[in-house]
Amino acid sequence: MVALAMGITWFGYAAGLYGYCLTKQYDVQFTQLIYPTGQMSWPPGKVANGVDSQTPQPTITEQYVPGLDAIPAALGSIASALGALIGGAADAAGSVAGAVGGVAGSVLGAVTGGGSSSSTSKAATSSSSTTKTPAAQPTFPPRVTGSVGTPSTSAGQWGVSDLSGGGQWGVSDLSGGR
Amino acid sequence: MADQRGLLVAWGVAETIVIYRSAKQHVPPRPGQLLATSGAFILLAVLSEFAPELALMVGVGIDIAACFQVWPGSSAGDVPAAAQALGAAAATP
Repeated sequence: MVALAMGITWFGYAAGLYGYCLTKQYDVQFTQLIYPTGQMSWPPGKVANGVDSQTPQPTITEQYVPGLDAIPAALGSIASALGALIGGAADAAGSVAGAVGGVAGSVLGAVTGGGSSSSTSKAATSSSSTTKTPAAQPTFPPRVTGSVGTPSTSAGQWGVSDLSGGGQWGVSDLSGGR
Repeated sequence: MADQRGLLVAWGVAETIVIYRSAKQHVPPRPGQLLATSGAFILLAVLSEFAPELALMVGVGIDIAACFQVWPGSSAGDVPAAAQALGAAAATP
C-alpha cells in the first residue's frame, strides 16, 4: 500500500507539472518531463503563436474549449489526493505519505485553479481580440454543369492546358464528359 | 505497516534532497529527476513487507548517496533559462 501511495504521488506530481506547462503554454512534452536523464532549461520556450511547430497541424479548424488545458492538472490533483487517501488511511505509518500527497494535492489544486482562471480569461480575451481564421480553402475553376455531352472548349475548361496549369483537374474529369 | 515508518522517512529525506537541489536554482524538480528515487523506494516498500530492516538500510544508503550527489537525479537539476542565456552570451566572442 505504501508503494502504491508513492507511485501515485509521483504520477500526480508529473501530471500536475505537465498540466501547469500546458496552462502556461510551454513547449514541452510529457516524455521530456519524465525522462530521467538530460537537462532542460526552465522555463521552457513557449509555443509560438499558439501553434506547436513540431506536430503537423490539422487542416480543419479547431474550436478552443476554455479550461481544457487544465484537465491534466486536475487529474494530477486527483491522483495526489488518492495518494494521500491511500497513504493516510492505511495506517499511522502511512501518515508521512499522506502528508506528502496532501501537500502535493493542495499545491496542484492551487495550480489547477490558477490555470483554469487563466484559461477562461484567455478565452475571453481571445474571443474579443484574436479570432481564429479558417484555413485557406483551395479555389477551383467553375465547372460546367448541364452540358456533359458537349463540353465548351471555348471556355478552356477541358483543354490540356488545364492539366498543366493548376493541376486541379483530374483524369476522371476529362473522361467523364467524353 | 508500522515498521515502514523509517522507510517513509528515508523516502521523504531523499525526495527533499533532490527537490532542494533544484529549488536552489529556482527550478522545479522534473519528475524524471524524482523517478529514480521514487522507483527505488517503491521497490524498497515492496521489499520491506518481507525484510524491513534490509529495506531501511538500503533506503538510508540511498539518502547518503543522494547527499553526496552519486544517486541518479540528485545532482544539480535543470538550468534556469536566464542562466543558460547568460552562458550562451558569454561563450560567443
